Amino acid sequence: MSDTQPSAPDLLNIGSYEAGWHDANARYSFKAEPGLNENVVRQMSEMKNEPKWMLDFRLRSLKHFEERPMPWWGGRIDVDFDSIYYYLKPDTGNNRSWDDVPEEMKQTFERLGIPEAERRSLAGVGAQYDSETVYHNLKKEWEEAGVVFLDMDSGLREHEDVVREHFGTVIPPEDNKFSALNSAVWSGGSFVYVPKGVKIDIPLQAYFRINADKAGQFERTLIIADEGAFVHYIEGCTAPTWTSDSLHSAVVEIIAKPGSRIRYSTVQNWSNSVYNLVTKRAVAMEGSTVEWLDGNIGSQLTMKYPSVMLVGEGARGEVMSIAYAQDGQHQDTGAKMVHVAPGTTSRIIAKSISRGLGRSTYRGLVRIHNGARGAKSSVDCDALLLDRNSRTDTYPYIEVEEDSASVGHEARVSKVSEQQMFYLMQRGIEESEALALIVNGFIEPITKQLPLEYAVELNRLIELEMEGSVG
Amino acid sequence: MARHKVARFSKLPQAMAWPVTVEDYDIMLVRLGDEVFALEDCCSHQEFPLSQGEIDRQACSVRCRAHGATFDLRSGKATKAPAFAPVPVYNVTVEDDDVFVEISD
Amino acid sequence: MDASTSSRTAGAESLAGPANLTELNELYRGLAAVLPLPDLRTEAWHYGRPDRFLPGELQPATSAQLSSRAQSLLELLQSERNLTVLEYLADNVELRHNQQDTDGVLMLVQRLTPADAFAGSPALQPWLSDLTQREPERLEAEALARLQQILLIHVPAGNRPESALHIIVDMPPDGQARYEQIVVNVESGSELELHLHIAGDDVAGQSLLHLGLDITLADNAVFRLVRYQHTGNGCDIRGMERQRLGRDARCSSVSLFSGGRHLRHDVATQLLGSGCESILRGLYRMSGRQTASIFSHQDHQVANAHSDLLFKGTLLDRSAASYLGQISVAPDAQGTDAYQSNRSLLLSPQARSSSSPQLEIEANDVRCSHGASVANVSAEELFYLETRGIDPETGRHLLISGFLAEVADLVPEGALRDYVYGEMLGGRN
Repeated sequence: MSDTQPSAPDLLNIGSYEAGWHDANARYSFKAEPGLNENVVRQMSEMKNEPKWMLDFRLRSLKHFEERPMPWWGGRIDVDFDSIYYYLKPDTGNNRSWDDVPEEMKQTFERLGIPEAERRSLAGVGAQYDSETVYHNLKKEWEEAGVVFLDMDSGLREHEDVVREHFGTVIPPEDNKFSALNSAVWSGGSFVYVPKGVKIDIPLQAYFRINADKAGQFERTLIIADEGAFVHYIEGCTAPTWTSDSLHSAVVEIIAKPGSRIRYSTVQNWSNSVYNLVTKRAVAMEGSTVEWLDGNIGSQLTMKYPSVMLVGEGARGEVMSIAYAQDGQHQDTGAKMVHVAPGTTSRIIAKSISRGLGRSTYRGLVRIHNGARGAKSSVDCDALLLDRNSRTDTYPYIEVEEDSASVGHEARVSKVSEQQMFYLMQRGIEESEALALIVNGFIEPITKQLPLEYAVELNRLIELEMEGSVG
Repeated sequence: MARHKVARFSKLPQAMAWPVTVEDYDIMLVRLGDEVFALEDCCSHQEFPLSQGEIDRQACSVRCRAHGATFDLRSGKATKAPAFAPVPVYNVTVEDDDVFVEISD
Repeated sequence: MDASTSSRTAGAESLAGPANLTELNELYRGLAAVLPLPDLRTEAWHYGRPDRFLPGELQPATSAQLSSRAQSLLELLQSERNLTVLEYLADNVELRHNQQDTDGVLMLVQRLTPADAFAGSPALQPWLSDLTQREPERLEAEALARLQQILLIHVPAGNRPESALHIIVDMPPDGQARYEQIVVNVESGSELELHLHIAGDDVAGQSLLHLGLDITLADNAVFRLVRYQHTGNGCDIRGMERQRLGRDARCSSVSLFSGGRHLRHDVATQLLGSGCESILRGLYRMSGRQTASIFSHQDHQVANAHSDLLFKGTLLDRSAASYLGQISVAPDAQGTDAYQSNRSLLLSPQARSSSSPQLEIEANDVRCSHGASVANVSAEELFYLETRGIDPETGRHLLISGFLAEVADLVPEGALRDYVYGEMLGGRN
């Protein structure tokens, strides 16, 4: 692909693995020593000029991270925490004008199609390069409506009270080892606040790029939709291919106030050297809706289970996820729905594709607490196995303590049928193309929920991944 | 509704969780001043025994040792993540030096 | 490695194991002392409470007195014709086995005591090698450390007893614990139908039973099992069932659980020969403060085998049930057809149910699916019945009966089916 303006289907050009180049000329104004200790955390907090409560929060989190054992379940995590760079500050400020972004970074994001995307179909864009956000912009009309879309560091500076009230209330540092790690060393991410009744009709997007070798990226996102508001937030991630491991460990907290609706879409395409260990959770209040749309491609290991805590009457949660695992990759993904209030409903649709020796795992929890009268939940898992020894697992946990609730779970495992392939090839379609068609048909119920550009991109990505997969 | 004698009031330590088992129910008693609270000894997040947690006298709450979830001792309401659902609370009465807990049949 | 070396090695291994029950007790006493109790990190015990099944202060069972449930069951069975009744009770009760009823067909039922050499009973070997090769588990080790006898049922090749074999296992009296192991070995082309009755009366304290059932089916063997577990208050039971199926072997089991206090049931079926089939059905009916924890494993190790599991349950009052099941398909097990389903009816605001049907699949040419549901009786179905003039209470009763019947009706018609509906599943719904 060329370095000039990408065409529409290249919008989020993260395929096969074209985002594999790294920007060798990237300059860092600050690169902390590798490894993690109290000094790194203090230094980082000081450079960011943070209030004391945030430093205390970071230190408490660091302590918990050190004490907490590795998860005993899930995938194999083999990260050398001492070789990771926890804070890389690119040599630039946070720019509001694209022209002010340093040339090398601009090239990176242009190759990824970010400016084009912004012009075409987004209400706002944030771009993060390693630890810090380098570009952030929100269209004027939304700014005038009172919408806040900032990188998390600016959010903390400009809206300290709101941040302090909500930060860590959905996912405390003690939740798990990686939420503790993120809480200790977080940098960047987005802070979104949508005022009462404001409905943003086109998406906001944040773009996360790990560029350096052995880098850790720990963005922290907090989204608050006030009563009756609506926002669709899209997140995209890539990293170059390195021989040593990189670590992406984000925390995303969502608060959906009464009657609001938040949709969070993710298209992640990591290189094989990345560990992607992410905690995403939403609290859904009375009559609100939270939807997670999660597409996971690449990485060595992804462990990610978007959750919705349905605490308000009539709240609704939805997770739609696609995982694609190839040789050397383990996608351990799923969802969690916790029904606390009456009349809450949830739905999980998970589709996974395993190719070669890839392994995809669905892991999910549906819990109905006593008192969640009339709660309903349905889970549907589909696994497609492309090769003889591709692997798939399903680990659903259903816990019900409410007799008026109804919960169902179904899962199926299938391979690509020979009849389907034969039919398509008989009509002159190439084998790899036929396979891609079948896979795209398989994930279509989810991709059709994405904005067109992203759906096209995801399909194209799968097609690229299919090439050479046959034979 | 059955009343069960579960403890001697004078023997209950201040601001410390006191686990008791009544008819298969694991219950945690907490005495703060002259008041005694009784909650199910089981965190609504991942069922860790709350009696191993810390009592906050000022906030009148218990914080789970496993993941920091916090509950109000009076209502059982979850006040801090990662718990979002309440834990059941039981009626407590003190007569002379006897502490009774009420359990529905 | 040449053939002579390998056979020498195999011989050495079999010699290394325990030579008799006394040695086996010794081996597992050592293991029980060092093994930790499984916690929720052990997938099979994710929802379990293993401490409920520890022997603790309980005395080994000594009583020769039959429980009233066992007594009436015995009378019922004796009144039925065409049944082979075998009592298998406490230590002091004589084993009465009416072998003549089997029309001269050979079936060996043997009780091994602590000093009997295992070498004298080759039919025990599959059980022994499975036992010593897998990872020991604390509760099982506790039971094996105390095991005082083994019941071996052996059907040599080419035999088909016409009548079913019935075994009654009685719960020990209050304050006592019993440990039993039944080993079934059906050789190639043979058939066996076994009915296992677990009976016991109410006790004020605790009565504990650990019951192991090990089933080896050689090529083309057929085995049918019906398990009736109906005991009283205070009865805690840990059942452990393991099946190994050879080529084209067929195994079907129906397990009915009712009464008792705490129940833990593990069933594992290993599909080792191509074309074999294991059908597993279970029904638990819980009330009061009973708990049930059920774990299943359908282990597909070879190509073209079939397994199908359905466990259903109804939960009343403050009862709780948990089901955790695994289907695993090895990389070579192409052509596997496996199904797994768990359905619970929650019939009271205080009842609880959890369910975790799991798949681990490493081959692609498979048909695998699973499902789980937890709900009350369907409002839509009730409404439909109402429109047909059936009042809600009757409608509810009908729907629950229908739910139970899918498994309960697998019990052969006759006195036992009546017993199942009357004694085990009867009463209020």
